[in-house]
Amino acid sequence: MAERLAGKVALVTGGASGIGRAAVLRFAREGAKVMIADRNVTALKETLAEALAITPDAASVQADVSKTPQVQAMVDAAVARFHRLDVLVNAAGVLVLAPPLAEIDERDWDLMMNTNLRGLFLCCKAAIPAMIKGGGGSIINISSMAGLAAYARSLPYAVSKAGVIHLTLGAASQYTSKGVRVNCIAPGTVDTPQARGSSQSAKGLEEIAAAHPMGRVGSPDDIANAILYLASDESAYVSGSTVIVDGGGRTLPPKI
Amino acid sequence: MNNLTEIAKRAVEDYGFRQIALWSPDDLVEQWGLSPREAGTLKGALRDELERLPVPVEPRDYAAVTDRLNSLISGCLG
Repeated sequence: MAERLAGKVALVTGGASGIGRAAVLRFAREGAKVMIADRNVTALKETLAEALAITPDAASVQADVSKTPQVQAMVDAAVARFHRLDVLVNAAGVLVLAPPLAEIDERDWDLMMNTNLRGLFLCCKAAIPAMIKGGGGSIINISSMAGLAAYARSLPYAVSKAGVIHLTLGAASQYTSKGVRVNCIAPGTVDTPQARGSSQSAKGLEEIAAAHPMGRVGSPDDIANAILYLASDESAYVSGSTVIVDGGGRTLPPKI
Repeated sequence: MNNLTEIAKRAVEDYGFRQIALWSPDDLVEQWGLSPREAGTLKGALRDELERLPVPVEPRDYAAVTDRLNSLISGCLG
């Protein structure tokens, strides 16, 4: 089978770990030229080395997506290195645990909104002109099932991820006609450093897996497969969609 | 509890918060109004310790790890 992203230039935020890292490596194997962006320099170097073992067309840039100058510099670096931008994967995000609404620290609210929603907005804002200039592109925003259902562990996180879903729909309504498709993925629980850390126990993910219809939580590669589809021309007629990738986890009866 | 010890406690118990302390410490410096000495400790000695912590820290270890970090902070701030 031909490489599904041959000739495409992709920028992946949060690309040094978890879902973002899986997308980077999958893209590299599918023929894309990949710019990896992350604020974690150590992990960035490690992931870049892995990508370079697959393709010479990989590079990295340190960026905090909540900072406008860094976001613009990130997009500029991708275009300067690879001369165009076809795909943006917005995988950067953070989950800070939070108490019930009346007890939430406003600083925590701001931290999550700044990265998960404002940061994603900034990345789209910077990338869309470059995509249009090149004739179009595909944006894949990583939301969460927490954005579609009540999520007791962190209301700010859930609200930010719900915002990502609506931003996706709105951006698709504005830019699909200009050749930029905008879609969103809502993963269920995925075995990432973030999920392991937020579970607050090494057994946390095991307990979730035991109750899951498939008997496991998702892997980063499970999500990367969906990202790949949305990045490729196979999804040429898909825009404004939210793709749920949760292994059927939402089919579980609610806990009363 | 001063601001830095509270930040350390939360970074032990919540990996998401720890990521911000590690990789976007200036956000916490601004939000929490840390002094230059506190900011230096957050970005220096405390950061080095936080980077070495397991993901996640098990609840049974919270107290011991937090105590160790508090001693470190006291040593840095005098």
